Amino acid sequence: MLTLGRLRALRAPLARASSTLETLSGAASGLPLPPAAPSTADTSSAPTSDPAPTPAPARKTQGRRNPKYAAIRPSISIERPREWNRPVAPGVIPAYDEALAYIRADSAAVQAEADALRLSLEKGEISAEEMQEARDRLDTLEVMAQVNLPEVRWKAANGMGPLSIYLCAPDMSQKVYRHLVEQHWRNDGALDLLMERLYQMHVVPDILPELKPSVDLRVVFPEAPPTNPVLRARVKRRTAPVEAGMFMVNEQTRRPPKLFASAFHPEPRMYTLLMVDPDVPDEENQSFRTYLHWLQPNITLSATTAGLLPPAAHTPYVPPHPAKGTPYHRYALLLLPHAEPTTKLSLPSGPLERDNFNLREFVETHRLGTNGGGAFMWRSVWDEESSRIWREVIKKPEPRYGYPPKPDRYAELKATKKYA
Amino acid sequence: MASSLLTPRGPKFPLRISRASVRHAARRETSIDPIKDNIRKALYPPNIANKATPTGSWRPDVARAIQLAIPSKQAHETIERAWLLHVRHQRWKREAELERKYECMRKAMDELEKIDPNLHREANRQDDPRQRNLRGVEKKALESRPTGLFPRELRVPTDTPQGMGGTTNGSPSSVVHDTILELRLLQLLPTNYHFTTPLTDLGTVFIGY
Repeated sequence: MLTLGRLRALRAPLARASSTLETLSGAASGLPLPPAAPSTADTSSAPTSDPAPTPAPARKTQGRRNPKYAAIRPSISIERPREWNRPVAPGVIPAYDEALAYIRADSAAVQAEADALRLSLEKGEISAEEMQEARDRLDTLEVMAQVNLPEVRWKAANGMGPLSIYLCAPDMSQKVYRHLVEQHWRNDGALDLLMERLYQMHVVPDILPELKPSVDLRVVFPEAPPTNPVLRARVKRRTAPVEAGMFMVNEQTRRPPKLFASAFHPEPRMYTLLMVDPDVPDEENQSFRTYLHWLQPNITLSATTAGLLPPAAHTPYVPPHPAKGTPYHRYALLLLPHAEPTTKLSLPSGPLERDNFNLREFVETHRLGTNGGGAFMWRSVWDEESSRIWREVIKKPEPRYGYPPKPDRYAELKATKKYA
Repeated sequence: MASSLLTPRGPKFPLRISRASVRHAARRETSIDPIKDNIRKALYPPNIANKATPTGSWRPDVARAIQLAIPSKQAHETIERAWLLHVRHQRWKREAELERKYECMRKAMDELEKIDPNLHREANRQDDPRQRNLRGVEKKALESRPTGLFPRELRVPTDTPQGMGGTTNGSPSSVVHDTILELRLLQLLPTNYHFTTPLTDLGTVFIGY
C-alpha cells in the first residue's frame, strides 16, 4: 500500500490485490481490538461473593465460526510503527535466502561505485560538460543500490521510512523512496484509473487539450449521508476518499474537500489550484459554459511538503450546484504548474468572474503548464441540497431546465362529443 | 484479513453434503465383486461434493495450491528481482566480453591495414554467394569452406607440443596454429588471447586465410 498515513482511509478502492492471496493491508482496521486478558485478582477482591463459575459444559455444537474479535494484529499506522522483518524464517525457502544474499552483495557493490563517483564529483575531477551527466548517473546509482533491498521496498509500501518529521511517510528526501512511491502511483493502477476517467468523461478534450499529471492528487470528502432519516442524525459522518469520476451527493461537496498532493520533485515548485464545472447550460448558444468554483494560485509543493492546505483562497470555494433538469455535471479539480517554478501569478485582487470562465484563456494568459501538476474529477446531479445551495449560497433564483411542453394535438377533438 | 501465510487454515467453505444418507462401506484394496460395485455406484451415486467442479465454478483447492507454491508474496517478489538482477549481470558480462573481442579484432585489422594493404583487402573482401557463377567441383570446393569461418581443423592450443597421436606436417590445423603463434610473436594479437570460450561463441571472424 502507498505511503500517506496522512490518508489512512484510503484502502480498498485503489488497491488491486490478488483475489486468492490474502494481502497484508489491514482490512481489519475497522475491527476492534481484543479485550484485555481478565486478571484473576479482580474476582477475588469483589465484595459480593459471586457464585463460583460452573465449568463450561462440553461443547456439542460447532459454535460460532466468526470470532467476535479478530485474532490479528492491527495494521501499521503512526501510532503502531513496525520494523521490517524477514517474511519467512531462514531455511524455509532456500531460494529466498540466496536471493537475499545476492541482492545485498549487489547493493554493496553499486553503493561503492556511487560513493566513488560522488568523491570524484566533490573533488572536481569531472569536466563541466560531463557534470550534469555525472550527477544524473550518481542519482541513478544511488537509487539502484537501494531499490532491490526488501526492507526499503517494504518501507516504501508501508510508509515506515527513516525517521523524518512525517513518521507516517517514508523519507521523501531520499531519492529511492520518491522513486518507489512514484513508480507505485504510475504503474500499479492509480494513475491509470485517473486517466481512464478523465478521458472517458471527456474532461480532457473539453476543458483542456491535454493533461499529463505528475503529482498524485487525492481528494477526501465526507461520506454520503445514509438515506434512512433516523440514521442521518445519529451516524457520525466519516470522511472517505473519492475515486475519480464518482457520483457525489451535493451534501458531501458542501464544504471544500481535504486535498492531499504528493509531488515527487525535491525542490519546491509553485502550482495553481482550480475547480471548474464545464457543464452549465448556456441557452443563448445552445451549448454549455464553464463555471469557476475555486481558484487558489501560488501553492508551493515539493516531495517533503505534506498534504495541501491552500490558504484563504483567492476565489473562495462555491459548492457544486447542478441545476434541475440538466444532465450530470462534471467537476474538475486541476493543479497546474507555473511556467517558472518559483514565479508567482499576478492576479487582480478581487475574486474572478465565475460565470462564463474561459479556462483555456486563463491558462494561456498566465502561462500555466499542462505537462505536470495534478488533476481530479467527480460528478453530481441535482438534488434538494442543490436547491438549498442556490437559495443560501448563490442567492439567485434557481433555474429549472426541461423540454418545452408538447402542444396537445387532440385537445379540440377531446372537447367535442364522440357519440351522438 | 491478514494472517500468517504459513499456518494451515481449515476449509473456508463447508463441504456440500447432501441430506440423504448414503451407505458407506469400508473401501477394500481389491473389490470382491467389481460388477456389483459398478451397479451399486450407478444406483447410489456418490454425492459428497468436496472436489473442484469441472467447469471451475467452485475451486476450493486453488488457495492451498497457491499457498504451497508462493508462501509469501514478499519473498516471491524478492526472488524474482534477484533473478532478474542475475540475468542482467550475465547479459552485461556477455556484452562486455563481446565488445572486448570486437575491439581486439578491430585493432588487429587496423594494424593489418598499415602493414599490408593487400592482405587487408583480402581479409575484408565479401563475396556474395548469389553472385558466384561457378559450377560443379569449383562450386563444391568453395561452398565446403565458407569464407570467414574458423577452419574446421582449428586446434585448441595445448601446453605440450604436438607429438601425441602423430604429428601433422603442413596440415591445415598446424598451419593455423603456427599462424596464430606468429601473430602473437608479432604482437598483433594480445598475449592473453586464449580460446577460453567455445569456438562457436565467437561468431564469425574475418581472418584472411
